[in-house]
Amino acid sequence: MGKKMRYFKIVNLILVLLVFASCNDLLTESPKSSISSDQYYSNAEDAMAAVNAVYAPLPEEFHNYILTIMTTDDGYAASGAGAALVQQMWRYNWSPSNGRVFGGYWESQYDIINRANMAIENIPPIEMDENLKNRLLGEARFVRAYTYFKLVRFFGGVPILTSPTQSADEVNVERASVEEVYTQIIEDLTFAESNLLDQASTQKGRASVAAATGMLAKVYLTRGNWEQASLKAKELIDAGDNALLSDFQDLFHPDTEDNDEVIFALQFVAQSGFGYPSKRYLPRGVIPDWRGLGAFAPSWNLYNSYEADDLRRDISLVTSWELEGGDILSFDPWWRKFWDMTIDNTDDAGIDVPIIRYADILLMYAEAINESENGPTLEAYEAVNMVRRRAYGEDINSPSSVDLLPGLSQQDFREAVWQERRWEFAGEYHRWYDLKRTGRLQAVVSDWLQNGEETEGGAATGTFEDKNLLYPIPQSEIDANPNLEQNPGW
Amino acid sequence: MKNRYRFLKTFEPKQNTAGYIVFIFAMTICFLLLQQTNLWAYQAGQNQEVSGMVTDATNNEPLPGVNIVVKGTNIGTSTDLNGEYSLNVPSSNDTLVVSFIGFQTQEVAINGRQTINISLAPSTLTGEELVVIGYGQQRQRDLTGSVSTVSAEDLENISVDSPEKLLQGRVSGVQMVNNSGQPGSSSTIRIRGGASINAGNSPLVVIDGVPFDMTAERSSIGVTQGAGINPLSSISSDDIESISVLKDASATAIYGARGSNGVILITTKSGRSGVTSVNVSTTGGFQKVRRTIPVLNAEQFARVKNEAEINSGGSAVYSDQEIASFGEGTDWQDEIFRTGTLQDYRLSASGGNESTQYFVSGGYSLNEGIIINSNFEEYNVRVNLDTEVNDYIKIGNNFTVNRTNSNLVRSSTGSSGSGTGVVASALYMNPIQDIRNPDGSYVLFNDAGRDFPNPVASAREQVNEVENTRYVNNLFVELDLLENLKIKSSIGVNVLNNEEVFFKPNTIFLLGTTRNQAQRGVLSSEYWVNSNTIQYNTTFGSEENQQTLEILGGFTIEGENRESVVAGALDFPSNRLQANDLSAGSEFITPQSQSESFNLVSYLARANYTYDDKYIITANARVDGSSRFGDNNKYGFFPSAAFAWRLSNEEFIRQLDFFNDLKLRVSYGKTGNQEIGSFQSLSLLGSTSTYLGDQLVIGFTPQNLGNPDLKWETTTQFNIGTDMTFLNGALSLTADYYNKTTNDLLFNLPLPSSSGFSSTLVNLGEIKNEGIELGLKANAIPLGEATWSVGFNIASNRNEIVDLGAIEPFFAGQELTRGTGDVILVDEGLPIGSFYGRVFNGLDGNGEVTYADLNGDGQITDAGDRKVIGEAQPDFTGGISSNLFYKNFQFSFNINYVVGNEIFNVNRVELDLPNGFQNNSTDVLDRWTPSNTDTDIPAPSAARGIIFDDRYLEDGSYLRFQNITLAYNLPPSTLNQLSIKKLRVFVSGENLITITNYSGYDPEASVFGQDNLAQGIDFGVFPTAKTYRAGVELGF
Repeated sequence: MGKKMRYFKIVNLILVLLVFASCNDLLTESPKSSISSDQYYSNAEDAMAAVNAVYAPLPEEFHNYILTIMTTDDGYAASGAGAALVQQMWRYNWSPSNGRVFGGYWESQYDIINRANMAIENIPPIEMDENLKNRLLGEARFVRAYTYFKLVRFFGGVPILTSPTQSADEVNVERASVEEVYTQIIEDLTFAESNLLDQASTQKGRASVAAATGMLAKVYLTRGNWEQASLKAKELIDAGDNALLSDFQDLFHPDTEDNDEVIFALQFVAQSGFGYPSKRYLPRGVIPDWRGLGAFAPSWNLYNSYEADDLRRDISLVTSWELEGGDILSFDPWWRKFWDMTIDNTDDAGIDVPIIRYADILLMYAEAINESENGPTLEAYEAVNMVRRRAYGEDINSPSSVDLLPGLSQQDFREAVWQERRWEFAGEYHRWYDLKRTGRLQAVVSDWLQNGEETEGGAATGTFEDKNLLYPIPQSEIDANPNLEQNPGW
Repeated sequence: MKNRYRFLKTFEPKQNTAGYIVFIFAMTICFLLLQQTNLWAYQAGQNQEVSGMVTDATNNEPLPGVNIVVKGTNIGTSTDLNGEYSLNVPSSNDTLVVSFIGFQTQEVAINGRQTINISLAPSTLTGEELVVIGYGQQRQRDLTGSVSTVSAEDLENISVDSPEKLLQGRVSGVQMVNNSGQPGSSSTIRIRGGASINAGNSPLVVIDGVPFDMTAERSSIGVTQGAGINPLSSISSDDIESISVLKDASATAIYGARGSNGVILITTKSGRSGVTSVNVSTTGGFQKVRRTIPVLNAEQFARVKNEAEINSGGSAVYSDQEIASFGEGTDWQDEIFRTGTLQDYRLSASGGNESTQYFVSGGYSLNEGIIINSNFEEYNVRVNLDTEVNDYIKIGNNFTVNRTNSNLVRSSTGSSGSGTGVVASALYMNPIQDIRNPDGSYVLFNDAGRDFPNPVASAREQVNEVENTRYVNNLFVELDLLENLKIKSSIGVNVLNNEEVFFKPNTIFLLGTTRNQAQRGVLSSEYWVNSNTIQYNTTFGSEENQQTLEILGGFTIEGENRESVVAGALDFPSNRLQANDLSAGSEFITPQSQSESFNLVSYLARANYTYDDKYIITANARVDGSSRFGDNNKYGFFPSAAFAWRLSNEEFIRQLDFFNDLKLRVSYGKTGNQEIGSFQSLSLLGSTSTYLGDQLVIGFTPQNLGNPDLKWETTTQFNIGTDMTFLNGALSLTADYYNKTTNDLLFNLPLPSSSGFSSTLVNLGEIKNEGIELGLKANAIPLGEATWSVGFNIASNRNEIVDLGAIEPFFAGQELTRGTGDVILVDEGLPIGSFYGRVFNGLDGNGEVTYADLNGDGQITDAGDRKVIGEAQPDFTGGISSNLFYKNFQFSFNINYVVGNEIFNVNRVELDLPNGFQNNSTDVLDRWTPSNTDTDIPAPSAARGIIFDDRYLEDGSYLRFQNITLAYNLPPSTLNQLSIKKLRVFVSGENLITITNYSGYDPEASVFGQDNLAQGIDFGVFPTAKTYRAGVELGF
C-alpha cells in the first residue's frame, strides 16, 4: 500500500506540474509564418515593406480593361471571354450584382487603400531617417490618391477611409461627396509632390515627383481646372527631365520600357504570377502557337479610325499575320501592344502598362491651354505635333507634313487632341476616363452600340442610359454596409 | 512501364519507410513461426481429456466452430459440425474459455469433470458487453446516451478501403457519401446533419485515444488536383475491434468543444491471453465502371455541329461525304476506362500469456483504378501490446505505421480547373478527333470550340502523385491504486508526412497551356495528446436497492503543429526529369511555406449513478481552453445530463412477459465546434511580393481582421430514445428522437470591402437539426438448418438555417462550369444545400429553351425568376444487412439507401446542349427540329449561353447492394486434420446492384468533396466501380 501511495503522489505531482506549467502559454497563439500586426512597424525595413505592399496589387489588367476599354467604342468581349458577367459589360446590361466586375474591383481598390492607410498611420512613429520616412509616406499617399482618383471617376463620391480598419465595428462608412474625395486626392498628391524624389533617383515602378505632378495635372484636367492643369503640365515640360522616345514601338518592349518618357507605369514582368496575360488579348485558335484565349478584343471602329500611315495602328493592333511559307492570314483586330514577343509564352508578358507618360503630359498641356486661352497657342500646337510626328515616323522636333493644320478653331483643336489621345493611348486604360471627363461618354458609346458593329463576339447591341454615366456601387457592398447609398438609376 | 517503375521505387533502399515495413514484416513472420512450433510441441504432452457439446442458449441447437481454449495457455480446439469437442487439458483444475463470434464468451471451470456441456448466449442481446465511450467503457445496458456500435464480427465480410466506410448503411443517423470512385479517396460524414456553415461539419474521429483530422484538405498540401485522399485510408479495417458512434449530448459532451458534429471512436484489436491466432489472407479482384454515359459518335456529332453552325447563321463545317467517312470515331470514355485490379495481402497474429498480450498485423494492398494511370497502394504495420508489470501497473502501447502511394486522376473543381478534368473531358471531347496526330504527337485539345484537354493524354502523361506516410502511437500506463480507484495516463502522437508531386509535360495541353510545369509540396503535421484520467467506482446500498457510482475526472492537453512548403518551376528544356529537378526549369513559381499550430487544454468529468439497475443518471462536463479562440473567450464549458429508466425491471412491465429489456433514455446538453483553423482571432500581416522595375520587392500586408471575442459554436441537443429487446432476445429495437440547435455559428461575416477586408470571422446565427432514428435487429433466427441475422435501420434528419442575423441571402460561391454561376443558396428557413435556379418551361416554336416567369412580370431575369428547385440533403437514409449461415456456408449482403435528395448533374449541362462546341449525350439525337417538337433538347445553335435550371437537377435516391458475399468455412473436423483453425474462402461483389433513376455515372458523387455547403454536385467525378473479389483466409 505504501508503495502505491508513493506512485500516487508522483503521478499527482506530475499532473499538477503539467497543469500549471503549460496551460496559459499553450493557449496564446504565436503565428510563425505571419506577423501579428501589433508587433510590426518598428524600423526602416518594416516601413519599406509596408510601402512595397501598397504597390503589389497595382499591376492588374482585368478590371482596368473592362472598366475603361470594354465599355467604350474601343473594345468588346469576344467569344473566348465566356462568363456572362464579363459579356454583359460591353452590351451595357450589367447590374450592381455583377460581383466579378464591380465587387471584385472595390475589393481590390480598397485593399490598396487599406494597405496605404496601414503605412501612412504606422510609419510616422518609427524612429528612422526623416527624409526616407517622408518619401515613403509620399509614395503611399501617391498610390492612395491614384486609387481614389480611379474610384471617384467610376463611382462618384465613395467612402473615404484614411486610417486602417481595426475592428468590424467601424466599417460602415458613408459615401463622401465628389468634392471631398478630390480634396483628399489633391492633399495626398500635394504631399507626395513635395516629398518624393526626382525621377532619376527613384527606383523604377515607384512614384517620383514627376508622377505626382503628372497625376495632379490629370486631376485638374478632369476637374476642368485648366489653369492648374496647364501649370502642372508645364512644370514637367520645363523641367526637361522627360522626353518622347523617338520610336513608339520602344515604349512597349521589355528592353526599352524604362525610359525618359514613361513617368509612372503598372509593372509587369515575364514571371509566373507577375506577368501581363497577353493570351487574353490574342485570338483563339487562329495561330495556335499564340495560345490566345480570344477574350478581350479591340473594335473595328478603333482600327478604322486611324489614318493610313499612322504607325501606332499596327503597333497597337494586329489584323493579319504572315505564316511560314508566306501566306497572309487576316482576322478581326486583336491587341498587340502588350504582347511580349521576346518570350515564347503568352501567359506572362513582361511589358509595363504606362499610366502617365510624357506624351500624355504634352497632350494634357495642349488640351488645357486650348481651354484656358480659348484657342490653341503655338506651344499647344507644338505639343500635339511632337506626338503626331513620332506616330508617323518623322523627326519629333522638325516641322512635318503630318502636323496639325494651322488655324484650327478652339473646337477643332479640342477634337483633334481628343482624337490624338484615342490613337496614342489605345489599350492604356484612358478611353472611358477621357470620354467621361470631356462629356462625350454617352454620345460616343450610344453611337457605337447603335451602329451594331459586327464583332467576333457578335453584333454590338445595348442601350446607354443616363445611369451609365457612373458605374453602380456593388450590390455586395450595399448589402454589407447599410449606410451606403446606390448611384442614381441603379 | 510507369507502374513497374513505381513498384520498384518503393523498394529502393532510400525509402526508409518501406524498408522498415519489410523488416517488421519479416520479424513478425519469424516470431509467429516460433510460436507455432512451441504450440505443437506443447500439445504433444497432453493427457487429461474433457469433452462435451456446445449449444446455442436461445434454441439449444449445436454450435459448430466454437473456440475452446484452456485459460492461460495456447491449448485449444473448436467444436465440430455437431457442436461436439474433445480436448486434452493439462489439469482438471483448469478453466475453459469458450468463445464464438456473435456469442458471449464464457469461462467454465473444469472442476474435475470429464464431460462439460456448454450453452452460449448470443452476445448482442444481453447488454453485458462493454461499449467504448469517451475516456472509458461502459456496459451496453448502462448507457444513457445514444451510442451505436459496430463490432469486429459485423465487419468480417466487408472490404473497404477506409474503416469509417464500414458505418455506411449500418448505423442510423450517420450519413455518408463516397465523394469519388478514386481509389483511397475521402468520404463526407454527417452525424445527425450538418450544423455549421463555415466551420467543420465532420465528426471528431479518435483512434485508440488519438484524434484524426478527417478533412482531406487539411491532410494535403494541395499540389495535386484530384479527389482528396482519405486520411483514414491508411488504417486497415481488419485491425479494428469496434467502432462506437456517439450521437447525443450525453455521449459527446465529454469531448466538449469538438463534440457537436458527433464523435466516432475506433478501437483496434488487442491480444487475448491464451488464445494464439494467426491469420493470413489474400484477396484479389477486379473492377469495372458501373456504367458509361451514351454519347454521340463521330458521324452524329458532325451532323449536330453542322446544324448548330447553320442555325446560327454560319455554314456547314463538314460535307456529307466527310460525315459518311467518320463512322464511330473515338470512344473517349472507352479510352480512359479500363478493368481495374485489386490485390490485398494481410497477416496478423494475436495472443499472449497472463501478463502480456499482443496483436501484430501487416498488410499490403494495391488497387489499380478503373481510369488509366490511377492507383492506390498501401502498406501498413500495427503492433498493439499490453503488459501487466505487476498487480497494479499496466502498460500498453498501440503503434501503427503506414504508407500510401497514389496517382490521382485530375478532377474538375474550381473555376480554373472546370472542364479540364479527365472524366469531364472524356465526355465532351470531339469524337471525330483521334488520340494522336499522324506524326505520333498527342492531339492537344477538343477542336470543336471549347478547350477541353485530350483526356487520354492528360490521364496518361501528367503526374499527380500523393505519398502519405503516417505513424500513430499511443502509450498508456494504468495504475490500480485502490480496489476502486484507477489512474490512467497516456501520451499519443499522430504524425503525417504528405508529399505531393505534380508534373505536366509539354506534350499535352492543360491549364490553358502546353508549357511544361512541375510542382512539389510537403506537408508535415504532428498531433500530440496527453490525457490523464482518474476513475473511481463503488457499489453500495442493500442487496435489494443496490446502487453503483462511477466517477471519472480528467485533464488533457493536446495540440498540433503543421508545416508546409511548395516549390515549382515552368519551361523545362526536357520532360525527362519530371518534377525531380526543379532547378532545371527556366521560370520559377514563387515558393511558399507555412507554419501553423494549435493547442487545446481541457478538464473533464463524468459521474454515472445507477439505482437498483432501474434508474441511471449520467452527468458530463468538460472545460475546453482552445488557442483558436479570441483572448476574451479562450475557455468554454460543455455540460450534459441524462437519465435512463429500465422499465423492464419494473414489476408492471415484467408482468407483461413480453420485453426482455426495455429502457427509456433522455438526455440534454451542450457541445461545441472549434474547427476553424488557427490564428483566426488575430490581426495578422502576411508577405506579398511585387516587381518594381526588374527588382522583386517584398511587403507585408494585412491578412485578416482580428476578432478578440471569437468563440466556439454551441450545439444544444435534446435526445429521447428507447432500447428494447423481446421475443426472448431474438429481436431488438432502438429508436431515438433528437433536436439539435446550434448557436453562435462561426460565420464569415461579409464586410464592406471599403474596410479593406472582404469578411471577418464572427459568431452569429442559428441552425437546427431535428430527426428520428430507428434500428431493428433480429439475431440468429432459425430457418430449418440455417440461421439468419438481419438488421434494418432508417433515419431522417431535417436541417434548417434558422437565423443569419442581418446577413442577406448569399450563394455558396462555388464556381462550376461556364455560365451556370451560383447554384446553392444559403438563406434563413432553407436547409443547407438548397439548389436555386430557373424552372424549365419547354421549348418555344424555334426550339429555344423557355423558362417559367415566376414573378409574372413578363420578363425572365435572374433576379425575379429563380427559386429553390431542390435539396442536396436526403429525406431518409439507412441500410439493411443480412447474414445467413447454412452449414458451412455464409451468405451475407449489405444494402444502403438514400431517399429524396437531388443531385445537380453538371455533366449534362453541356452534354445536353447542342452547340457544336463539345460532344453531346445521345439525348441530343432527339433534338428539336421543325418536325420533332415534342422534346426538351433545344435546336442546335452555336450562340447559346448556359443557364442553370431544374432540368439538370435529378433525383439522387438510390438503393445499393454495397456488398454481397458468399463464404465457405472449412468444417472443424477437416480443420483439425489439417492442424489449422480456420480456412475460409469467399467471393464477394461491391456495388453490383444499384437501383436509381440518376442518369450520371453514380448517385454517390461530390465534386467539392467535403465542402459544407456545396454537396450533391456531380461534375466529372471519378465514377464508382463495380468490384468483384475472391479471397482465402487461413487461421492457425
